[in-house]
Amino acid sequence: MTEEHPEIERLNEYLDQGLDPRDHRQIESHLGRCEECRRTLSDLSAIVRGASELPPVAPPEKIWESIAASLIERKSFSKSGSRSAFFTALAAAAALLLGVSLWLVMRGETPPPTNQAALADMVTEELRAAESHYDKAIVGLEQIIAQNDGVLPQELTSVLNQNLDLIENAIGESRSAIAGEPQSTAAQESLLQALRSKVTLLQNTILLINEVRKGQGENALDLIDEMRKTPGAPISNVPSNPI
Amino acid sequence: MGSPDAVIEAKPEGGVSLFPLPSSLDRDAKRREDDELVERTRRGEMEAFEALYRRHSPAVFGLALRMLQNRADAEDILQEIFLQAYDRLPSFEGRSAFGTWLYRLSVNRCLDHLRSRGAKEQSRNEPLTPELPGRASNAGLRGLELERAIGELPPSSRAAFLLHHVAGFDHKEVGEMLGIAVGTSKSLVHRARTRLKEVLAR
Repeated sequence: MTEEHPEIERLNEYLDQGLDPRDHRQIESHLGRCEECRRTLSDLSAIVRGASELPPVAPPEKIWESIAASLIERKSFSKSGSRSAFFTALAAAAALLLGVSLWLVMRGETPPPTNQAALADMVTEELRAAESHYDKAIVGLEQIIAQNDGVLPQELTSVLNQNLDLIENAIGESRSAIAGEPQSTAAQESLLQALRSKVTLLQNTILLINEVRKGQGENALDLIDEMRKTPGAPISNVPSNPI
Repeated sequence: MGSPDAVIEAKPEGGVSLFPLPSSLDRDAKRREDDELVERTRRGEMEAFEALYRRHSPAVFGLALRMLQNRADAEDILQEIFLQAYDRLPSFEGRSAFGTWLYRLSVNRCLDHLRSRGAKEQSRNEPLTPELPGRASNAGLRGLELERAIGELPPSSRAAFLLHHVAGFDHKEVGEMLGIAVGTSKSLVHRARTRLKEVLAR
Protein backbone atom coordinates (compact mmCIF):
# COMPACT_ATOMS: atom_id res chain seq x y z
CA MET A 1 0.00 0.00 0.00
CA THR A 2 1.31 3.43 -0.95
CA GLU A 3 1.73 5.88 1.93
CA GLU A 4 -0.04 9.23 1.53
CA HIS A 5 2.20 12.33 1.45
CA PRO A 6 1.51 15.05 4.03
CA GLU A 7 0.18 18.32 2.64
CA ILE A 8 2.85 20.93 1.96
CA GLU A 9 1.24 23.17 4.59
CA ARG A 10 2.11 20.51 7.19
CA LEU A 11 5.70 20.40 5.93
CA ASN A 12 5.81 24.18 6.28
CA GLU A 13 4.60 23.87 9.87
CA TYR A 14 7.12 21.10 10.51
CA LEU A 15 9.86 23.40 9.22
CA ASP A 16 8.72 26.13 11.62
CA GLN A 17 8.51 23.57 14.44
CA GLY A 18 4.86 24.51 14.75
CA LEU A 19 3.38 21.03 15.04
CA ASP A 20 2.44 19.29 18.26
CA PRO A 21 4.92 16.56 19.27
CA ARG A 22 2.78 13.68 17.95
CA ASP A 23 2.32 15.24 14.49
CA HIS A 24 5.96 16.25 14.45
CA ARG A 25 7.05 12.64 15.03
CA GLN A 26 4.62 11.42 12.40
CA ILE A 27 6.06 13.75 9.74
CA GLU A 28 9.59 12.92 10.81
CA SER A 29 8.88 9.27 10.42
CA HIS A 30 7.38 9.84 6.96
CA LEU A 31 10.39 11.89 5.92
CA GLY A 32 12.61 8.98 6.86
CA ARG A 33 10.88 6.88 4.23
CA CYS A 34 9.94 9.42 1.52
CA GLU A 35 12.58 10.99 -0.68
CA GLU A 36 10.06 13.23 -2.46
CA CYS A 37 8.95 14.88 0.79
CA ARG A 38 12.56 15.20 1.94
CA ARG A 39 13.25 17.07 -1.30
CA THR A 40 10.23 19.35 -0.79
CA LEU A 41 11.35 20.12 2.75
CA SER A 42 14.87 20.78 1.53
CA ASP A 43 13.53 23.23 -1.10
CA LEU A 44 11.48 25.08 1.51
CA SER A 45 14.50 25.23 3.82
CA ALA A 46 16.65 26.63 1.03
CA ILE A 47 14.08 29.36 0.42
CA VAL A 48 14.07 30.30 4.11
CA ARG A 49 17.86 30.31 4.25
CA GLY A 50 18.16 32.20 0.96
CA ALA A 51 15.73 34.87 2.16
CA SER A 52 17.61 35.35 5.41
CA GLU A 53 20.76 36.02 3.37
CA LEU A 54 19.26 38.69 1.11
CA PRO A 55 21.19 41.82 2.03
CA PRO A 56 20.01 45.40 2.64
CA VAL A 57 20.42 47.66 -0.41
CA ALA A 58 22.14 51.04 -0.16
CA PRO A 59 20.02 53.73 -1.83
CA PRO A 60 21.60 56.32 -4.13
CA GLU A 61 22.90 59.43 -2.38
CA LYS A 62 20.49 61.68 -4.27
CA ILE A 63 17.60 60.38 -2.13
CA TRP A 64 19.03 61.84 1.06
CA GLU A 65 19.82 65.09 -0.73
CA SER A 66 16.16 65.34 -1.82
CA ILE A 67 14.90 64.55 1.68
CA ALA A 68 17.22 67.15 3.23
CA ALA A 69 16.19 69.75 0.66
CA SER A 70 12.48 69.04 1.30
CA LEU A 71 12.86 69.35 5.05
CA ILE A 72 14.80 72.56 4.72
CA GLU A 73 12.25 73.98 2.33
CA ARG A 74 9.65 73.33 5.00
CA LYS A 75 12.00 75.08 7.47
CA SER A 76 11.89 72.02 9.70
CA PHE A 77 15.42 72.65 10.87
CA SER A 78 15.38 76.44 10.99
CA LYS A 79 16.49 76.61 14.62
CA SER A 80 19.38 74.18 14.49
CA GLY A 81 22.23 76.62 14.06
CA SER A 82 24.98 76.79 11.48
CA ARG A 83 24.35 73.38 10.03
CA SER A 84 20.83 74.50 9.20
CA ALA A 85 22.23 77.52 7.38
CA PHE A 86 24.54 75.19 5.53
CA PHE A 87 21.68 73.04 4.26
CA THR A 88 19.43 76.03 3.60
CA ALA A 89 21.98 77.57 1.30
CA LEU A 90 22.64 74.26 -0.42
CA ALA A 91 18.91 73.80 -1.00
CA ALA A 92 18.59 77.35 -2.30
CA ALA A 93 21.48 76.79 -4.66
CA ALA A 94 19.92 73.51 -5.80
CA ALA A 95 16.61 75.27 -6.48
CA LEU A 96 18.35 77.96 -8.52
CA LEU A 97 20.24 75.36 -10.51
CA LEU A 98 16.99 73.55 -11.17
CA GLY A 99 15.73 76.82 -12.60
CA VAL A 100 18.68 76.96 -14.97
CA SER A 101 18.19 73.32 -16.00
CA LEU A 102 14.53 73.96 -16.74
CA TRP A 103 15.54 76.99 -18.74
CA LEU A 104 17.96 74.90 -20.77
CA VAL A 105 15.24 72.32 -21.48
CA MET A 106 12.59 74.90 -22.32
CA ARG A 107 15.02 76.77 -24.48
CA GLY A 108 15.09 73.82 -26.87
CA GLU A 109 11.30 73.78 -27.04
CA THR A 110 10.76 77.49 -27.74
CA PRO A 111 9.63 78.13 -31.34
CA PRO A 112 12.29 80.07 -33.25
CA PRO A 113 11.54 83.72 -34.03
CA THR A 114 11.16 84.65 -37.68
CA ASN A 115 13.99 87.18 -38.08
CA GLN A 116 17.64 87.26 -37.04
CA ALA A 117 17.40 90.38 -34.88
CA ALA A 118 14.57 88.91 -32.83
CA LEU A 119 16.53 85.67 -32.48
CA ALA A 120 19.58 87.53 -31.21
CA ASP A 121 17.50 89.47 -28.69
CA MET A 122 15.82 86.33 -27.42
CA VAL A 123 19.09 84.41 -27.00
CA THR A 124 20.73 87.33 -25.21
CA GLU A 125 17.78 87.66 -22.88
CA GLU A 126 17.74 83.93 -22.09
CA LEU A 127 21.47 83.84 -21.55
CA ARG A 128 21.19 86.75 -19.15
CA ALA A 129 18.48 84.90 -17.21
CA ALA A 130 20.60 81.73 -16.99
CA GLU A 131 23.64 83.72 -15.93
CA SER A 132 21.61 85.43 -13.27
CA HIS A 133 20.48 82.06 -11.88
CA TYR A 134 24.05 80.77 -11.77
CA ASP A 135 25.29 84.00 -10.22
CA LYS A 136 22.71 83.76 -7.44
CA ALA A 137 23.63 80.14 -6.76
CA ILE A 138 27.30 81.08 -6.68
CA VAL A 139 26.71 83.94 -4.23
CA GLY A 140 24.80 81.60 -1.89
CA LEU A 141 27.51 78.95 -2.02
CA GLU A 142 30.29 81.48 -1.53
CA GLN A 143 28.53 82.77 1.57
CA ILE A 144 28.55 79.34 3.16
CA ILE A 145 32.20 78.87 2.36
CA ALA A 146 33.01 82.28 3.85
CA GLN A 147 31.10 81.35 7.03
CA ASN A 148 33.22 78.22 7.34
CA ASP A 149 36.54 79.92 6.76
CA GLY A 150 39.36 78.03 8.48
CA VAL A 151 37.69 74.60 8.49
CA LEU A 152 39.77 73.28 5.60
CA PRO A 153 43.58 73.15 5.84
CA GLN A 154 45.29 76.27 4.47
CA GLU A 155 47.16 74.42 1.72
CA LEU A 156 43.97 72.79 0.40
CA THR A 157 42.05 76.08 0.55
CA SER A 158 44.79 77.70 -1.47
CA VAL A 159 44.60 74.94 -4.13
CA LEU A 160 40.81 75.25 -4.32
CA ASN A 161 41.16 79.02 -4.73
CA GLN A 162 43.70 78.54 -7.53
CA ASN A 163 41.24 76.26 -9.31
CA LEU A 164 38.47 78.79 -8.79
CA ASP A 165 40.72 81.48 -10.29
CA LEU A 166 41.19 79.32 -13.40
CA ILE A 167 37.42 78.98 -13.77
CA GLU A 168 37.02 82.73 -13.16
CA ASN A 169 39.45 83.36 -16.03
CA ALA A 170 37.37 81.09 -18.28
CA ILE A 171 34.21 82.96 -17.26
CA GLY A 172 35.91 86.30 -18.02
CA GLU A 173 37.17 85.11 -21.40
CA SER A 174 33.73 83.76 -22.35
CA ARG A 175 32.09 87.04 -21.39
CA SER A 176 34.64 88.95 -23.49
CA ALA A 177 33.94 86.65 -26.44
CA ILE A 178 30.19 87.20 -26.07
CA ALA A 179 30.70 90.96 -25.87
CA GLY A 180 32.57 90.82 -29.21
CA GLU A 181 30.14 88.41 -30.83
CA PRO A 182 26.83 88.28 -28.91
CA GLN A 183 25.27 85.60 -31.13
CA SER A 184 28.16 83.16 -30.83
CA THR A 185 26.66 79.89 -29.61
CA ALA A 186 30.13 78.56 -28.80
CA ALA A 187 30.85 81.54 -26.54
CA GLN A 188 27.49 81.20 -24.83
CA GLU A 189 27.97 77.49 -24.23
CA SER A 190 31.47 78.15 -22.96
CA LEU A 191 30.18 80.72 -20.45
CA LEU A 192 27.45 78.40 -19.17
CA GLN A 193 29.96 75.54 -18.89
CA ALA A 194 32.37 77.73 -16.91
CA LEU A 195 29.54 78.84 -14.60
CA ARG A 196 28.48 75.22 -14.13
CA SER A 197 32.09 74.30 -13.29
CA LYS A 198 32.24 77.02 -10.69
CA VAL A 199 29.01 75.88 -9.06
CA THR A 200 30.24 72.26 -9.03
CA LEU A 201 33.54 73.24 -7.44
CA LEU A 202 31.79 75.37 -4.80
CA GLN A 203 29.28 72.62 -4.02
CA ASN A 204 32.07 70.07 -3.65
CA THR A 205 34.00 72.47 -1.44
CA ILE A 206 31.00 72.71 0.86
CA LEU A 207 30.60 68.93 0.97
CA LEU A 208 34.30 68.75 1.82
CA ILE A 209 33.87 71.27 4.64
CA ASN A 210 30.98 69.19 5.91
CA GLU A 211 33.01 65.96 5.96
CA VAL A 212 35.92 67.67 7.71
CA ARG A 213 33.55 69.16 10.29
CA LYS A 214 32.12 65.72 10.94
CA GLY A 215 35.65 64.36 11.32
CA GLN A 216 35.16 62.04 8.34
CA GLY A 217 38.69 62.36 6.96
CA GLU A 218 38.36 59.27 4.80
CA ASN A 219 35.16 60.54 3.15
CA ALA A 220 36.89 63.87 2.56
CA LEU A 221 39.81 62.14 0.84
CA ASP A 222 37.39 60.15 -1.36
CA LEU A 223 35.63 63.37 -2.25
CA ILE A 224 38.89 65.08 -3.16
CA ASP A 225 39.68 62.11 -5.36
CA GLU A 226 36.32 62.50 -7.09
CA MET A 227 36.94 66.23 -7.48
CA ARG A 228 40.19 65.46 -9.29
CA LYS A 229 38.11 63.59 -11.87
CA THR A 230 34.99 65.80 -12.04
CA PRO A 231 33.96 65.97 -15.70
CA GLY A 232 34.27 69.53 -16.97
CA ALA A 233 35.81 70.84 -13.74
CA PRO A 234 38.62 68.61 -12.49
CA ILE A 235 40.71 70.22 -9.77
CA SER A 236 44.45 70.09 -10.14
CA ASN A 237 47.62 70.53 -8.02
CA VAL A 238 46.06 68.84 -4.97
CA PRO A 239 48.68 68.43 -2.20
CA SER A 240 49.77 64.87 -1.38
CA ASN A 241 48.26 65.03 2.15
CA PRO A 242 45.31 67.36 1.67
CA ILE A 243 43.55 66.72 5.02
CA MET B 1 22.83 36.98 8.31
CA GLY B 2 21.65 39.73 6.09
CA SER B 3 19.26 41.31 8.56
CA PRO B 4 19.73 45.05 8.71
CA ASP B 5 20.11 47.24 11.75
CA ALA B 6 16.48 48.18 11.44
CA VAL B 7 15.40 44.77 12.62
CA ILE B 8 17.04 44.99 15.99
CA GLU B 9 13.87 43.82 17.65
CA ALA B 10 13.56 40.82 15.40
CA LYS B 11 13.26 37.52 17.21
CA PRO B 12 13.75 34.10 15.74
CA GLU B 13 11.02 31.57 15.84
CA GLY B 14 10.81 27.92 14.96
CA GLY B 15 13.01 26.87 12.07
CA VAL B 16 14.27 30.40 11.59
CA SER B 17 16.49 30.01 14.64
CA LEU B 18 18.91 28.18 12.37
CA PHE B 19 20.27 31.61 11.51
CA PRO B 20 22.16 33.76 13.99
CA LEU B 21 20.71 37.07 15.12
CA PRO B 22 22.58 39.96 16.71
CA SER B 23 23.01 39.49 20.42
CA SER B 24 20.48 41.15 22.70
CA LEU B 25 23.29 43.44 23.94
CA ASP B 26 23.86 44.67 20.39
CA ARG B 27 20.14 45.14 19.93
CA ASP B 28 19.80 47.09 23.15
CA ALA B 29 22.78 49.30 22.29
CA LYS B 30 21.42 50.02 18.82
CA ARG B 31 17.99 50.78 20.19
CA ARG B 32 19.47 53.21 22.71
CA GLU B 33 21.45 54.91 19.95
CA ASP B 34 18.31 55.17 17.82
CA ASP B 35 16.32 56.59 20.75
CA GLU B 36 18.96 59.24 21.26
CA LEU B 37 18.98 60.13 17.56
CA VAL B 38 15.17 60.36 17.58
CA GLU B 39 15.31 62.70 20.55
CA ARG B 40 17.95 64.89 18.90
CA THR B 41 15.91 64.97 15.68
CA ARG B 42 12.89 66.16 17.66
CA ARG B 43 15.08 68.99 18.96
CA GLY B 44 15.69 70.00 15.34
CA GLU B 45 19.11 68.49 14.63
CA MET B 46 19.32 67.61 10.96
CA GLU B 47 22.53 65.67 11.61
CA ALA B 48 20.66 63.26 13.90
CA PHE B 49 17.93 62.63 11.34
CA GLU B 50 20.59 62.08 8.71
CA ALA B 51 22.20 59.49 11.01
CA LEU B 52 18.85 57.69 11.39
CA TYR B 53 18.52 57.72 7.62
CA ARG B 54 22.02 56.30 7.14
CA ARG B 55 21.35 53.50 9.64
CA HIS B 56 17.95 52.44 8.36
CA SER B 57 17.62 53.42 4.70
CA PRO B 58 19.39 50.31 3.27
CA ALA B 59 16.91 48.02 5.03
CA VAL B 60 13.92 50.12 4.01
CA PHE B 61 15.18 50.48 0.45
CA GLY B 62 15.73 46.71 0.20
CA LEU B 63 12.16 46.15 1.40
CA ALA B 64 10.76 48.73 -1.04
CA LEU B 65 12.70 47.31 -3.99
CA ARG B 66 11.54 43.78 -3.25
CA MET B 67 7.96 44.86 -2.60
CA LEU B 68 7.59 47.15 -5.58
CA GLN B 69 9.93 45.41 -8.05
CA ASN B 70 10.69 48.76 -9.61
CA ARG B 71 13.71 50.88 -8.78
CA ALA B 72 12.29 54.29 -9.61
CA ASP B 73 9.18 53.61 -7.51
CA ALA B 74 11.32 52.30 -4.65
CA GLU B 75 13.43 55.47 -4.67
CA ASP B 76 10.31 57.66 -4.60
CA ILE B 77 8.76 55.62 -1.83
CA LEU B 78 11.95 55.67 0.24
CA GLN B 79 11.94 59.44 0.13
CA GLU B 80 8.24 59.57 1.04
CA ILE B 81 8.72 57.13 3.91
CA PHE B 82 11.49 59.14 5.55
CA LEU B 83 9.60 62.41 5.12
CA GLN B 84 6.53 60.73 6.60
CA ALA B 85 8.64 59.30 9.42
CA TYR B 86 9.99 62.76 10.15
CA ASP B 87 6.48 64.22 10.25
CA ARG B 88 5.28 61.46 12.56
CA LEU B 89 8.25 61.48 14.92
CA PRO B 90 6.35 63.63 17.44
CA SER B 91 3.78 60.83 17.82
CA PHE B 92 6.43 58.08 18.02
CA GLU B 93 6.17 56.93 21.63
CA GLY B 94 9.07 54.50 21.64
CA ARG B 95 6.97 51.48 22.63
CA SER B 96 8.58 49.62 19.75
CA ALA B 97 12.08 50.23 18.41
CA PHE B 98 12.42 53.02 15.87
CA GLY B 99 13.42 50.40 13.26
CA THR B 100 10.24 48.38 13.86
CA TRP B 101 8.11 51.50 13.70
CA LEU B 102 9.83 52.53 10.48
CA TYR B 103 9.29 49.09 8.95
CA ARG B 104 5.59 49.37 9.77
CA LEU B 105 5.37 52.70 7.95
CA SER B 106 7.38 51.31 5.07
CA VAL B 107 5.54 48.10 4.38
CA ASN B 108 2.17 49.78 4.58
CA ARG B 109 3.29 52.57 2.27
CA CYS B 110 4.51 49.93 -0.21
CA LEU B 111 1.19 48.05 -0.01
CA ASP B 112 -0.75 51.30 -0.54
CA HIS B 113 1.41 52.00 -3.54
CA LEU B 114 0.82 48.54 -4.98
CA ARG B 115 -2.91 48.90 -4.42
CA SER B 116 -2.98 52.26 -6.19
CA ARG B 117 -0.83 50.87 -8.98
CA GLY B 118 -3.42 48.10 -9.21
CA ALA B 119 -3.73 46.33 -12.49
CA LYS B 120 -0.87 48.29 -13.97
CA GLU B 121 1.51 46.28 -11.79
CA GLN B 122 0.97 43.22 -13.93
CA SER B 123 2.10 45.07 -17.03
CA ARG B 124 5.32 46.37 -15.52
CA ASN B 125 8.14 44.47 -17.03
CA GLU B 126 11.09 46.54 -15.93
CA PRO B 127 13.78 44.03 -14.93
CA LEU B 128 14.51 44.48 -11.27
CA THR B 129 16.81 41.63 -10.45
CA PRO B 130 20.03 43.16 -11.82
CA GLU B 131 19.45 45.99 -9.31
CA LEU B 132 19.21 43.65 -6.37
CA PRO B 133 22.26 42.12 -4.79
CA GLY B 134 20.91 38.66 -4.03
CA ARG B 135 23.67 36.14 -3.62
CA ALA B 136 23.96 32.40 -3.56
CA SER B 137 22.87 30.78 -0.33
CA ASN B 138 24.58 27.85 1.34
CA ALA B 139 21.93 25.53 -0.01
CA GLY B 140 22.75 26.52 -3.55
CA LEU B 141 19.66 28.65 -4.11
CA ARG B 142 20.74 31.61 -6.18
CA GLY B 143 19.82 34.92 -4.57
CA LEU B 144 18.93 36.47 -7.90
CA GLU B 145 16.52 33.64 -8.69
CA LEU B 146 14.90 34.15 -5.33
CA GLU B 147 14.65 37.93 -5.85
CA ARG B 148 12.91 37.29 -9.16
CA ALA B 149 10.55 34.71 -7.67
CA ILE B 150 9.61 37.02 -4.78
CA GLY B 151 8.35 39.45 -7.41
CA GLU B 152 5.77 36.88 -8.47
CA LEU B 153 4.13 36.63 -5.04
CA PRO B 154 0.83 38.39 -4.33
CA PRO B 155 1.49 41.65 -2.40
CA SER B 156 0.22 40.50 1.00
CA SER B 157 2.20 37.23 0.91
CA ARG B 158 5.24 39.12 -0.37
CA ALA B 159 4.99 41.58 2.51
CA ALA B 160 4.61 38.88 5.17
CA PHE B 161 7.44 36.79 3.67
CA LEU B 162 9.85 39.74 3.47
CA LEU B 163 9.06 40.95 6.98
CA HIS B 164 9.39 37.49 8.49
CA HIS B 165 12.24 35.88 6.57
CA VAL B 166 14.30 38.80 5.22
CA ALA B 167 13.81 41.34 8.01
CA GLY B 168 13.48 38.69 10.73
CA PHE B 169 10.32 39.83 12.53
CA ASP B 170 8.24 37.21 14.31
CA HIS B 171 4.63 36.53 13.32
CA LYS B 172 3.22 38.63 16.15
CA GLU B 173 5.19 41.64 14.92
CA VAL B 174 4.33 40.95 11.29
CA GLY B 175 0.66 40.67 12.29
CA GLU B 176 0.81 44.01 14.10
CA MET B 177 2.52 45.69 11.18
CA LEU B 178 0.05 44.40 8.61
CA GLY B 179 -3.03 44.57 10.83
CA ILE B 180 -3.66 40.82 10.61
CA ALA B 181 -3.84 37.91 13.06
CA VAL B 182 -0.76 35.87 13.95
CA GLY B 183 -2.30 32.83 12.24
CA THR B 184 -2.91 34.83 9.08
CA SER B 185 0.72 35.94 9.04
CA LYS B 186 1.86 32.31 9.34
CA SER B 187 -0.52 31.26 6.62
CA LEU B 188 0.65 34.03 4.26
CA VAL B 189 4.29 33.12 4.85
CA HIS B 190 3.62 29.43 4.26
CA ARG B 191 1.72 30.21 1.08
CA ALA B 192 4.59 32.42 -0.05
CA ARG B 193 7.15 29.66 0.54
CA THR B 194 5.02 27.14 -1.31
CA ARG B 195 4.53 29.51 -4.23
CA LEU B 196 8.24 30.34 -4.32
CA LYS B 197 9.06 26.65 -4.45
CA GLU B 198 6.77 26.29 -7.48
CA VAL B 199 8.20 29.35 -9.23
CA LEU B 200 11.78 28.26 -8.60
CA ALA B 201 11.06 24.79 -9.92
CA ARG B 202 9.94 26.11 -13.31
